[in-house]
Amino acid sequence: MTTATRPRVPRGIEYNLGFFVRLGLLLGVLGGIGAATLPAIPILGYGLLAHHDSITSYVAWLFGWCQHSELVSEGIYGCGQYGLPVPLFEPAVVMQRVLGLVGLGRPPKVTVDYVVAIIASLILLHFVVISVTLIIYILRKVIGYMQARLGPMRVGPKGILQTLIDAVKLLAKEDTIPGTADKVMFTLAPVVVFIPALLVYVVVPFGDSKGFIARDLNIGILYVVAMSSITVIGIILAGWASDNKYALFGAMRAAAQLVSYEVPGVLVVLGPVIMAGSLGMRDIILAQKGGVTEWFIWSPVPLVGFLVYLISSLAETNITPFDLPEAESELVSGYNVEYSGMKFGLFFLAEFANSFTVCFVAAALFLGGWYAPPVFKLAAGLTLALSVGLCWIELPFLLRWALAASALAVCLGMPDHGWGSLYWMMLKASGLQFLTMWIRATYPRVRVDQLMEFAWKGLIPISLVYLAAVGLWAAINQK
Amino acid sequence: MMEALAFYATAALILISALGVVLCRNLVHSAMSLALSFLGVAVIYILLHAFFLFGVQVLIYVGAITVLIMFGIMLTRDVEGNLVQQTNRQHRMAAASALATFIALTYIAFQSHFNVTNATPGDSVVGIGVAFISRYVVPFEVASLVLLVALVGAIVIARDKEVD
Repeated sequence: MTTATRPRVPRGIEYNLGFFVRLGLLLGVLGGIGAATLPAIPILGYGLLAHHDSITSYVAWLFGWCQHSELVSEGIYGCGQYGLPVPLFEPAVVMQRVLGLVGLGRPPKVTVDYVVAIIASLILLHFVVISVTLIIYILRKVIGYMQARLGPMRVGPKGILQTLIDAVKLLAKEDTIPGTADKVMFTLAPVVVFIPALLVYVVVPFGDSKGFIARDLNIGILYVVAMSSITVIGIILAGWASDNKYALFGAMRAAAQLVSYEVPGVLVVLGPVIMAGSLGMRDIILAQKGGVTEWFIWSPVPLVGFLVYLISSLAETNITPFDLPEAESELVSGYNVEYSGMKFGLFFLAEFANSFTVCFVAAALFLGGWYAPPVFKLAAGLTLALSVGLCWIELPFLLRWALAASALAVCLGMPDHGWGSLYWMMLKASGLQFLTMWIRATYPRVRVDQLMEFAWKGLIPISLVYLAAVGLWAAINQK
Repeated sequence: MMEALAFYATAALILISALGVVLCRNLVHSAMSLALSFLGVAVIYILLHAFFLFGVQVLIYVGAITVLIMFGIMLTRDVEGNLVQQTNRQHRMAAASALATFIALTYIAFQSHFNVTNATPGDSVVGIGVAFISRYVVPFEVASLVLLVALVGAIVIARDKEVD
């Protein structure tokens, strides 16, 4: 080992390097797909030339958001009011045109409101379903790589269609209800779990400009916390209605866990709220403008608030170190053990949707939302230079490295306004999602007593101290 | 018109689910009706443009109190919640007191004068916050003191039971 003339890179490190390259690509792709999901629906769906003479003018209008004076002056019911991307107003325009041609004149404002609301909710539903499908696939792949196995490989190239097939399977499965179950409550429970998970996305800011947030409620973060708190009821209901002791154990654990971890989670969320002086998600992000140092993760005490929020939201979404409510080895599957078919699918969908929401909220509250660190532009250039250097050293990997590095460079050099902001928000949320996957693959499950002690004797005192520090910070910075 | 429709629909929801709380034979069903009733009240807050109250109503009443009630039902009685007796022999007294409360509330509602305005309500969060630390600071502090006492009391009771 000492006589080697040329020091070889140990196998493990080499593997890790490759892993991180793959990770960079993966995050880039995930962010890109996520960013494409939202606008793709209206772009593909609605009459391209309904309002425009040429494609160029349509594209210009698409990217110009609300600034297009023509539309605003024509009175297309104030785009800013609903805060959706202008393309979403296309159906409203089409509807007006059609009704005008028929001779019915303009539809009442209320009708347009409803059309817009329905389209917005459809877009959010699509986003949730598509992102969850992707997350499940990526989760299985990531955990597979971390545990030195392949993950799904059979269906489609690299198993990419596996989740799709699983979803079809869930839809086609027989929907069983246990004979002794409370039928109404049993059916209601997955709905009670899923609806809040979907509703939370109303205030999730996907990017800069009001066009990327379905409705910027002035109680933003309070709304998120309130909606997530409904989930517990559905879980308890599921466990109770199943009439199965494992399900009931799972439900009881879930109730105790979620109620306990809600406290530090909410206390810590108050930190950014106080520092930004607003409950609105957009306002909180706007308050973090001006470089990495302005992000609320650093002030007043670095990392504390962020970590407490991350840990308590892991517990609230039942992710692995805290997955006692569905501990497979003890409770089979916990509260959802009796469910099959799409009822089970709804639980699954809600769980992953919640875990992604939490990432969005954490990115918005602590990581500066859609603001990109200015140093990243420098890093983009450096990455390219580095990749060229590395290409010389290891020739066989030339293509792979060059590809990875250029992808990374493009990722790092993205602008953080307009459509670029969508990318950054997605990237941060996806990065946090990856972190939770990493934790999921790494840590063993905690014990019940450890779980409770950690919340009540650890996190809550820490978050109270953090809150006091935030108060002090706010008092000092006010002058 | 739409708002009136929404109001009456919500009011009907609240009343029906409130009846469900009393009439359901199963305690868990009652708790669920209670949650629905709370949710209906939250919707009324939305109709009043009081979004902050909506959030707090959902967070505390739907999210916390209902869960605590469910927890209580499952921990204290038999877990199924089916065999628990829902009624007792004091229904006459209960009916009388309910009727008296109803009459008193109706009387007060018809006696009081409600100001009507067409102005759009402003940011309720700021208003409530300012009111809490200026005009209503004493009731606010008293309420928090009461909560603290309740918290300490709960711990003391729980400790005593643990010693037994």
